[in-house]
Amino acid sequence: MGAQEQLGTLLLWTPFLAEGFLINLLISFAPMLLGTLLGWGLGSLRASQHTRAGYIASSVTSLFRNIPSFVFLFYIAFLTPMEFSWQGEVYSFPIWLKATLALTVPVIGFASDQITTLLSELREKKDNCWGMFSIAWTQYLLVVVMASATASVIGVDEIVSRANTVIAAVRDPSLMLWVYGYVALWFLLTGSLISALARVIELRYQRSAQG
Amino acid sequence: MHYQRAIIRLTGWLIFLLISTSTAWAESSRLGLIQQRGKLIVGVKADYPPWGMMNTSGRLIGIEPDLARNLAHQLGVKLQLVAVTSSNRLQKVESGAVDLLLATLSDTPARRQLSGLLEPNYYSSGVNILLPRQSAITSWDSLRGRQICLSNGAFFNRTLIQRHLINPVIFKGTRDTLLALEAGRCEGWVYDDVALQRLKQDDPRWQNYHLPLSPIMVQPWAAAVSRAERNSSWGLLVSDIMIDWHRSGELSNIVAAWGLSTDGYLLQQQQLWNQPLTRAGYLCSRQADGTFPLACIDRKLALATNHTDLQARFGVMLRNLGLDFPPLYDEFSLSSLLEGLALTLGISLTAMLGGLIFGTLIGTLHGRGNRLTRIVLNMINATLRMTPPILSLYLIFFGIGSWAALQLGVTFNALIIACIVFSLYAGASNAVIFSVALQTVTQTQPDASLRQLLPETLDRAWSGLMANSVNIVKAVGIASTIAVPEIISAANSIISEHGTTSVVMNFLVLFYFGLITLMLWLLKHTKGWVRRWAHKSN
Repeated sequence: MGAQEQLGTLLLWTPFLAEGFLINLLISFAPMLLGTLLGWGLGSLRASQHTRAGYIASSVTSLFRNIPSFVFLFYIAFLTPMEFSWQGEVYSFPIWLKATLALTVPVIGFASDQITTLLSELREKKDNCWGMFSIAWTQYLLVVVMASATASVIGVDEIVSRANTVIAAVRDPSLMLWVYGYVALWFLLTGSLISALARVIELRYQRSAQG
Repeated sequence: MHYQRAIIRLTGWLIFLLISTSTAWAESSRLGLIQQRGKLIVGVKADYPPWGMMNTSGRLIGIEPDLARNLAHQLGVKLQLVAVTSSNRLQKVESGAVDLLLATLSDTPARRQLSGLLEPNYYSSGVNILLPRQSAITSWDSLRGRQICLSNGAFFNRTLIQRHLINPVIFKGTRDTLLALEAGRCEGWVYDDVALQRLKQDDPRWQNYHLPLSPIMVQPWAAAVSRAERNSSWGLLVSDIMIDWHRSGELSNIVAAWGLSTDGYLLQQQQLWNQPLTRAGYLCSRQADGTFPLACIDRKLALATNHTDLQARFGVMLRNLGLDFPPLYDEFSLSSLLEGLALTLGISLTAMLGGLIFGTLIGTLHGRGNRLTRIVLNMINATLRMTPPILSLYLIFFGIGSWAALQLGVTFNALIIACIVFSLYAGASNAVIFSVALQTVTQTQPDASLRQLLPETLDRAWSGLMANSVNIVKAVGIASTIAVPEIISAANSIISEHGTTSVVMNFLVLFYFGLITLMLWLLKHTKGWVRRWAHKSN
């Protein structure tokens, strides 16, 4: 296959890959939101005066923080039911939801730590605590977007899994490098966007701190 | 506050959901569930033409999908096909993800313990080895010590490793194994005879390969329901329909429609199941206790199922105690688990050290460099940090690897690639932290030499560097996707062979929790050492 033909093949499969990337975004943003919400609960418990509740919240946080999301992916994929029956109707558990749950776990640990810091800084009336929080949050989003690529191992139909489908369908080993490189470019662009966003937030808070 | 309480309650609910490993929602009667949802879910292979494969529009087609359609039609329900692999199929049927497996599953005594394999069998095949035409391998005995590709989850892997003493290179699916063979990562591929023959027929890429040895370990294939459903109305119904397939010749018709010969096993089975006993019935019919006469089924299998040795009995005892952890009673599982553990620790240490060295080097160049150096380094760094590690592994191992094998005749070692990828991924983040610290320290002591600045820079950057080191240890398991036999690969192999999902998964989670907790504790202490060293140096 010539270079032009290879480029044509990539373009042909672009909508298919783009659709997969939407799933990556879904299983990145949903865990970030859900995890932040739940981590908020844990973080405020840790900062509260109740020592026992704080102790439990700290243990749960370390449990969630210290187990890799890659292991949780397998754990949840293997050990949660595939479908359940409720009031006579059968519901299935979609695989992207399982990936979302697995990726939520480390976010809870992260958010719990960040919010504990945020709350104590707010109490001490330090400057710029919300700024630091949003920068850390945005940077963690980048980590989760990178981790979303691993969801392919449990069969989530995201962009890496679709890249493998394309390679299998085209059956040309020389195209493999191009397909993977092209998908890497999608992540690079998204990552750069997120980094730029973090930078904008950082500058804005620096300015407001100075002004 | 109300909303806080709600969040706490929600957190509790999620924890419950995560920790709960029971399949309490599973239906007691699968047949009832199938009728209730009006749909039959069957697991078939996607990489085993013509038995199960994907067509160009991504639909599952083949002999097994056709058999499944026939079954759904007889039940009067719709059909949903789910692609399964050799390594996950038993887990899928046991967890209830599929109602039935028609997935080229060889019938073995060990599998009969794990899952609800049904009689009668519907096909049979052996094990063969695909070799390059110029290969020096001429017999099954000459495999000893050679690098041979295997596919994860195949029942014969253990025999090849233990009896033929091969040096195994195990991949997840057919695609990855094929790529590895083509890239010269192994000297041959041991796999199912039928699949290898078909592959050679269909794909011109394999013209320089052949199957010179005669197949070993010829085994019949079985459909499977979950272990609990084997003797339920659902298992019996499928079994009866399969007898019908043999008697009516429907099975032969479907197989023949896909271009396979039906002369051997299928013809013999058709005659067997049609053999009359009396005017009223067949010789091969279900007896009062639910079994078939020995003449009708695989005698070896039927006898082996009842036989248990001491070690197996110990395993059963542990299982009854709810502690079915194969490494406790199976030496093969134990050694693969220990090897996986050692590899995980080894890759983790290498990646941490590599990341620190790469990070300080690039960080120093960046912190001290001019504008142009910084721009170039920033770009390299961003590319390294913003490519998911799993993609980097695929890109280098398969993408560049197959190119290098074809053009240069060089093969890449998966372990070395994993170490490099993780070192660079951690190193890129380390470089950012180190550079910022170096610049801050330089501002306070503009005239000091780099060597004088180093202790304080390290002191400043240390927390960040250590956080990155912990993160890279969490990512090391991703190496399992390019057949590095680390601990997650080992756990998956044990699960696909023994089916002890929850105990092995809980072990894996506990192992990682312990490892990361220990690391965090150790690294917290190094912080003090670095600080003292920085102060002494000043």
